[in-house]
Amino acid sequence: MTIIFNNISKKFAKNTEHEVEALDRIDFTIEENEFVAIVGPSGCGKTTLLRIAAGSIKQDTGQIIYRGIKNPKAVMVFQDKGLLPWLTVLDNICLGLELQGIPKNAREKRALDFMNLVKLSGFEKNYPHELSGGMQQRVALVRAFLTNPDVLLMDEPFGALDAQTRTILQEELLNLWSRERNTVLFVTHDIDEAILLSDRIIVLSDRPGKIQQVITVPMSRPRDLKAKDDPRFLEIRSQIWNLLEQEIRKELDLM
Amino acid sequence: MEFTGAGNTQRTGLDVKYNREHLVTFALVFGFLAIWEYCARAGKISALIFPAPTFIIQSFFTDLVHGVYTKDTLISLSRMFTGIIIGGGTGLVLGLIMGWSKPVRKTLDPIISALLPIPKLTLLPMALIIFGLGETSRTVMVSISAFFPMLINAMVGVAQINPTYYEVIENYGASRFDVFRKVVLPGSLPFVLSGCRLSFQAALMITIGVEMMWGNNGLGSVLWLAWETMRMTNLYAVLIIISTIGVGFNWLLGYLQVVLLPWHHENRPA
Repeated sequence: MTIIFNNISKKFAKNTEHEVEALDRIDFTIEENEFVAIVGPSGCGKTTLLRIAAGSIKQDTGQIIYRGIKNPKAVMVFQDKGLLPWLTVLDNICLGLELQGIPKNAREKRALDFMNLVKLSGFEKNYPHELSGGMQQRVALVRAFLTNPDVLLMDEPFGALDAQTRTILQEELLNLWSRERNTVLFVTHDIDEAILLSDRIIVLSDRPGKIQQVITVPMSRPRDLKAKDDPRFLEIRSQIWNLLEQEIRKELDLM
Repeated sequence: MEFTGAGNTQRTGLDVKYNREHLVTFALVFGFLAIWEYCARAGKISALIFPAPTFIIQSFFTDLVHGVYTKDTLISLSRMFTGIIIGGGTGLVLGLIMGWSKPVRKTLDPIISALLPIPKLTLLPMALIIFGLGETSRTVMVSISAFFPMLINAMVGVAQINPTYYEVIENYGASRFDVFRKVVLPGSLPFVLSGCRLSFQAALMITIGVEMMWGNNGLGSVLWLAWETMRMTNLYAVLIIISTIGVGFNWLLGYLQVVLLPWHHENRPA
């Protein structure tokens, strides 16, 4: 299975005279089991692209083609508010399976096995508000992986967390992903996070979002946090930073 | 990461903490009653209008065990709950629809806004003309009064749900019905329960008010008769019964809130 983003453009109309161009002719292909990150300055349309892929908004031009699969399933992981506050942790994790019509016993067994794996056991009956932000995002990740989607769409899932917690969760995501190997499209503004996690990085320009460059991360898998000390890591980081710096400065000067 | 603090805490909401403030509350009430009692017995105030509290309570319980108020209490309660079920039920359904569907909300909102500020008791003459001098008029009056608070709260309850929750569940392929039972209903429940409380208060007020103005049964008419015949102990007795109904229902709703909304912030431990 490959996912082809073909010539995707999107404008938002605040009113008829004033249009904001969010995405401009986005063209790229994600291979099966590939982890692709999208980085770019804030407001460059990263999230818009994900939401188009999830089907929650419609693009103006172009299309997303899932080659080699019928009825593709794209599951989104949100930055926050992704858990329903009135459902317990277990019910939240089972939500995706429940809506797929998997019987209660089966889905709870799968959920509990998975929870055990990421050390969430013992929190089944807690409500989201009783968990820290990091734990909540862990629950959101588990729920998304559990439905085994064709593509996982992650919208800055660690964006609201403090730096330490984020580092831990990045490592957990690496572990989880090397086990499950789902195709992932991961939006972030954290360059280090993008390099650490992904196979390829798409660097978008400032509004309207346009692909500046696609960078392949050469470091081998499985990776852990030590990959950040790799000289190639530092090299890619400065490469991406050089691309983004002009964009960000441009935006700041305009303001 | 350790998260030992997030264990399951069982909260029933039934255990009231008796702290220093509650002692002061009790002392205030008891002090007031004691002064009243003294003044009534010493003849400082008219015992005809303000009989001693002990006398009021004594005759209240005597009447109660003789079933003096049973029939009228049941009549008032059944009127009230019929109105709550009809009016509150309609308000709930319409409110959820208005909260969920923006076009419906935009269409009906001006009408609701125009009707909302009308004091509902003023509709009694119209009700009597249209529905006649029977029970229907009373039911209509109580239903109308219970309708509005429920409608407003259900509508706001749905409208305030964070849009991300819809996106989450639709992303997992939820049907309209799934969205309703997994997001709309639980998400609006805190507001719906507040709506129940306000509906109940409005229904109680209008039930008693209508009975006072017209008719010859129900607690309101007993109250009015007591005033007309200057039987003050009866008057106080009816006030005690009405207050008990009000406090009892509020307590029940508070309990439901804790049982049904363990996730909601108002029920979280401080």
